[in-house]
Amino acid sequence: MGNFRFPIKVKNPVGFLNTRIIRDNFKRQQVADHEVTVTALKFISRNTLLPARVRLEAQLQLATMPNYTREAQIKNRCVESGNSHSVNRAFRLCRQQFRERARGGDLPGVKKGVW
Amino acid sequence: MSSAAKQILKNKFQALSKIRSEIFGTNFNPEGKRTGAKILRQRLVGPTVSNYYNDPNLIQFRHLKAIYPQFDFVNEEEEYRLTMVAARKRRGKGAPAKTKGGDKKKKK
Repeated sequence: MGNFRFPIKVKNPVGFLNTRIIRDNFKRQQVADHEVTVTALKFISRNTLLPARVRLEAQLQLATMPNYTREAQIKNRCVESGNSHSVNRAFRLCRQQFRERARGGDLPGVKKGVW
Repeated sequence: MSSAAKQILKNKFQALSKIRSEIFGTNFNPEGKRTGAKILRQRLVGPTVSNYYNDPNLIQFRHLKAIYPQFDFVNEEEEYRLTMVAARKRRGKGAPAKTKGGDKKKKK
């Protein structure tokens, strides 16, 4: 049953885990694995100097690749809570986790602004 | 400037840029045809994308225990949890006792 969603086995990250993080991590690993292929196919299909047939074949191949090989499927999530909204890219934390950690002194150099 | 003169100037510029590209090994594409070079120029994002979450091979507490069985490590978080469970039990807030006979169905 579980074979459909994750056809390829991927190691889970250490730390907070939920279904959505596992799913996103799977897509990330797959995108990284297929990146060179996708780039090559994209280059062939966008190159107007190549014969039309070759370009069409490349476009078809791109279209038949599974969705988890597409970069657009990736979403930055909070590594501590799995939240996908208001995630700080530099700290990889959502705003709530960022606040808690900053107040607890877990983020070096982060201070509350007072002026 | 007449249009003929403009054309001549344009051709000269083009010839110049062709020679220049031959010397410096750059691309010469006067018609601006789409060659897909844009795709190849982009940086590969694979490593950044795949290392977003924590390293899956990071050493965890249980690995530490397995590597050094002779040492007695203390997992503070787990100790704290256990003390809290014990405290709750003392106040009579612990988990209910298991029923005998596992196949008993819950009452509605």
